[in-house]
Amino acid sequence: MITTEEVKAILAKEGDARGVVFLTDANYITLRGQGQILPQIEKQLADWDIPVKFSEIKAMNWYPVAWRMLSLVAIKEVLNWTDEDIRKMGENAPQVSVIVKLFFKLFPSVKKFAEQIPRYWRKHYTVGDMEVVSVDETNRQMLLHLKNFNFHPLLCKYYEGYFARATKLTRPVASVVTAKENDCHFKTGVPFHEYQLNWTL
Amino acid sequence: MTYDHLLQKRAEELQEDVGVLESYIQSFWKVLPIPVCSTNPIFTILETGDTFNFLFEYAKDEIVGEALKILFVSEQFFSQLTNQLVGKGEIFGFETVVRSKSGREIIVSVSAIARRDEDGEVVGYIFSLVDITETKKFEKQLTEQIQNLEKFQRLTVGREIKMIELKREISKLQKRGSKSPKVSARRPIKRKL
Repeated sequence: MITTEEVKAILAKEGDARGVVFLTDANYITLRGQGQILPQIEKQLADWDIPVKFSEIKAMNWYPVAWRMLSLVAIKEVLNWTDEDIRKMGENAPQVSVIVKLFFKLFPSVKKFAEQIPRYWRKHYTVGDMEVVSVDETNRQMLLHLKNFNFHPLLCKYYEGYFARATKLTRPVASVVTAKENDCHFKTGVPFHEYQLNWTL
Repeated sequence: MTYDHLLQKRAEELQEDVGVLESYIQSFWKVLPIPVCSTNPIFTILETGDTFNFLFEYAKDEIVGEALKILFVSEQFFSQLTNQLVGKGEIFGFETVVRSKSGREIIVSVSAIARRDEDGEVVGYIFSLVDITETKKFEKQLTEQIQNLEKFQRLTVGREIKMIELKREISKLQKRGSKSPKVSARRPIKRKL
């Protein structure tokens, strides 16, 4: 359970996120047949003074990242989900995100896709920087660093799923794409989160 | 009003505009009566309209992320179609057979157009797959009916021509008959006993 102090600390952090992130979460919960739980999540958020109503969120509007972060915490707590459930929710997001469909240039060339990644980040968030550290086409591997974005470790799991699926949308359907967080600010104190992406085709 | 306030106001206006556009696009996908989908440059489905989902019997989350080619009965036709699309940037009215989730075969007319970015690079495609199964069925019925009518016409016209020929024959025979020596009605017919 998250403490009141932790909630306050997260709420004090600056930065905005597009409303689409709330909508993709609500979509996934509904897909899993738990849409009736959404009011309970909203109630939990209201208890933390966060006035989120999923049905009123606009995909392209900006909302505090702190709200998005605590919404994820509320989802995990109310639905009693594991980190793996959160990862799966992240995996579902690019598939239904209106931003991915409208703005992402899902080039099949890995290098060209990689060039777009920092821009994709900025489409979703006003804070944090996404850097492509390396692209190794021979070994089919890419390293990403997410900097200045340290809200909660739960998001790390979510992004493992998100990055894997977003990359998969650029690869042939039969390709298996994996993403894992190699290094984490919350675990080792490094000033970034390092994600390693691999694909088979 | 300061420059910062003006910028802030402009940003708010833009946000409102984007909201309107977003709602417009969502409605467009929802109510468009033509089955449409968008794909990435390698033909992975990214977005589908409600009519598309209904026609192919897939829930959106099932079909988004799948290869478009799984819907096509002939993989070879799909390759030809996409090769032409990649080359020309658009295709119109290609007829083919696709398959729904339950295996139902549907005849569709496929059209597609490339989406390009500001540098002219293809970032995806928009496909429409219009169900023409009923039209094709009706077209087939109509062709059959026309063929039957033609057959009937050939028979009736043939009979008519035959009748005309017979009438001519009769009339010829009658004329020939009238030229031969007249037999007097008064002259008694000799009968052999």
